Amino acid sequence: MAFNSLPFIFLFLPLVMAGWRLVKPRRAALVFMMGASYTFYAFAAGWLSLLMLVSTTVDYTVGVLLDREERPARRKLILLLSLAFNLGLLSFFKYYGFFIETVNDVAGHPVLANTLHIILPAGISFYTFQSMGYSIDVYRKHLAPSRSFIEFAAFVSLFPQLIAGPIVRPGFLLPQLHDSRPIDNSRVTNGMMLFTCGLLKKVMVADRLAFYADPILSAPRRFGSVDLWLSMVAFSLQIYFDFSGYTDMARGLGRMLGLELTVNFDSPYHADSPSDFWKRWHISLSSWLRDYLYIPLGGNRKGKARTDLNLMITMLLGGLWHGAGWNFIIWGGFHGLLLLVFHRIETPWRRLPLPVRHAVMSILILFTWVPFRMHTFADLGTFVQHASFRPDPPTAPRELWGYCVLGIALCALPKNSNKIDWNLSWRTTIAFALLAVVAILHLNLSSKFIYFAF
Amino acid sequence: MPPQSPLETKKLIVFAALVTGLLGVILAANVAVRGRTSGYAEGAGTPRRAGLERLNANPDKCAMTADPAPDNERPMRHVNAGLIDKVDVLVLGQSDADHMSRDFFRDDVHFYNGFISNSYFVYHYELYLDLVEAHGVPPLVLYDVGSGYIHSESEEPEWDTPAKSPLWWGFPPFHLGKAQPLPWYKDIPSLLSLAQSQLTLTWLEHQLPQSRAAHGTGGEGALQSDNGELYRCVDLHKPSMMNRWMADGSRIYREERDAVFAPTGPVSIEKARGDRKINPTRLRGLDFSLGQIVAKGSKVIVYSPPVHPQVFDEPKQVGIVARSGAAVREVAEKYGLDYCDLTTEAASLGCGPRDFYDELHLSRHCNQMIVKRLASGCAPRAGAALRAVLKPAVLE
Repeated sequence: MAFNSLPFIFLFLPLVMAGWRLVKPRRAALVFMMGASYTFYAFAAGWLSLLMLVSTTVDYTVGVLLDREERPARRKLILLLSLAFNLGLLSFFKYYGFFIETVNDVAGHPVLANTLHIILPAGISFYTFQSMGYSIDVYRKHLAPSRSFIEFAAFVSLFPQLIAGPIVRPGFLLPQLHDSRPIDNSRVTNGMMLFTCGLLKKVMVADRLAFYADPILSAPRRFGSVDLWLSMVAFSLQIYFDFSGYTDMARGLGRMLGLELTVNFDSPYHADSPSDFWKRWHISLSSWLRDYLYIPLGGNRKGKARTDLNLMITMLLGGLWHGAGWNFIIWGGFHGLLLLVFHRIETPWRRLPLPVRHAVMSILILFTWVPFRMHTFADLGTFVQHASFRPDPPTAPRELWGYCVLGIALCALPKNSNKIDWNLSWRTTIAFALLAVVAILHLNLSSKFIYFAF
Repeated sequence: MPPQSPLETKKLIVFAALVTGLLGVILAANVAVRGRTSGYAEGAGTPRRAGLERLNANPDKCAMTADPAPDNERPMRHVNAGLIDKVDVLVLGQSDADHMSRDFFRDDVHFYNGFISNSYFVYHYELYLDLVEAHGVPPLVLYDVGSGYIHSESEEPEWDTPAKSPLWWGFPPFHLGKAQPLPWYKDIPSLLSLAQSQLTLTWLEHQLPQSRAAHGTGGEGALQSDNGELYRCVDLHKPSMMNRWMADGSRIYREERDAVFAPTGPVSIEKARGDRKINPTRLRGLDFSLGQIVAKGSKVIVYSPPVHPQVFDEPKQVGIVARSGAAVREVAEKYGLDYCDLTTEAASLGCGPRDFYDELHLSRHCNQMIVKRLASGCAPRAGAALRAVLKPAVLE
């Protein structure tokens, strides 16, 4: 039951909104929200939703223990246990198969047997980072631990942001859950518009792009350079509209429930440098990695070489976070390399005219999506070979060109969905309602959100 | 409760009411129209269905113009399954079976050629299921598996898992391999789809008197001018610039007249030689399709039709074709089925150069020679069943 499904829009959402409004005692409302969120999650993860309950229990207990313990060594030990548990869980479910495969590939013959056919629970990377962030914040005394298990469980499992983020900081969301904030209708309308905007991004742009580009990118050996690069442009637009569409829907849902969620995208294709890109793309993950990995590693405080190393470690792990595959590590490494080079040429780079910086960045970002999309070395090699050396006449359907132009035009708009005032005029409200109907009529061709796989 | 802005509350109500109201109207219209036009979602009055109705009403006069492509042929077969009579002998396979004809069979035998050009095996099973649903299990299936198909690079989709190909997704209800109509309340996503709504609009448009006159179905005097449009009912005995389908499901090529065509020119060895590895997904597709059809109770004869002898000017083709034949035979044997490999048998069948439209596509005469061979010992298990339904002249 994803956001882009009829049961969610017409059954689950109205029921949850009604329940959240009608159940008055705060504790009961949180129990209701937790129940709704676990129900939502169970549709995606089945019995593996119990894992989230285990993870929540561990981190809640860690918070309580850290609050009671003042001795630094003991506090550190408690935190390390929490990190070991969370990262162990994530590694087992996400990277076990990858590890076995890599060992066997390196050995050249099967050394380890992959006897456990592990299913990756949806959203595990997101909720693990969210609850791990809580333990670290409590350890650092940046945050008072939650006094209520229900409140904490509602925070970890909150359905709008559960499966694909944004990764919300506990200090941002827990107080909102703690304080009983009344919901006013202007926020609900506002949230509905933002949700509709996200739905349109997903269904009318991302899914349409994927529909025409996927057959080409799934069989790169059959196509020439124009088709392949056009499809890669389509993918770079698809992933943006898919993920930012999901985020808009999540934030819109939050507003309908009277909650504010973190901004996750800020026109990333307007970036004029690699570091600017990471301030605009998947902001909740990049800021998480900065605060909980890059800075603890030493950040830029330990000399140039160490800064480079820290940056590269952060980007490689950021890549690996996306998925258990070498292509994601290459993608992270590629971005790490761009950041390292940029730090060395920042001053002359800034002297270049803005359109030149934008153009160069757009091309570089397009290149980085190649390893992200081509999942195997064989496909990656074929793509690079054909995209570079096979100038066949284009065969891609005209629709693909059209949707790419539409996507680029939408990306070029000066205001993104975070900056639009969603308290719309009557005319725009009615136009949005009609667009929502069109999007819903396309739902049966809508596919899963890309970031559900991470 | 906080003080609510009356304006914002109004907007909220209007937005929600507009969305749910409009969708409710669309859903109600789609349900109503779907109910009136049978379980097959392509309703009366759509050009394809109207064309097929005319074709079936005029089997001796009419050939229907259509595009030879799976994204047309697949829905065309799907719609036609509900329009034709029961099927006694069914041909499944790709386009090299397109000249298998009802002329080979006794007059009381209901024959249907269900070939689909450039298709996956799951498409064949999809059509088979449509026919089973509409008329019961066809007693005899002739399954054409050309040697090249097993070598095709394109990955065969799984029955229950859509491939990343718009062809396999199709539009509702032609997606996910589920061709059977669902009860409307289980089919909300497709009933609230753009495609379904477009079909409803087309149907409603058809109700207008002038449109009904333009699209009229069936009846005497249904022949239409051959003006290059799709789904026209054109004279069966005249050449045309378009491919045409006959009521028995077989095809007539452009310019072909009364089963005589002019070969297209040099034989393309690349297409026919199968100079590739055997594609395991294709074999799995064949295995799945055969397994399902046998389980439903049809007798099946699997055969590989001859390819143009010139293909074997490339010496390595002999080995490649033999490996393909062995792989198909293994799958057929798994289900206890006959497999008749005629890939290299053009000469012994009596199929000469004029019987090959190109390297793969065969004349009606050559197809007649194939059924004769299948009924004459090449298919020891089900050959007798085929012999029993053929015209005596075919066996002479």
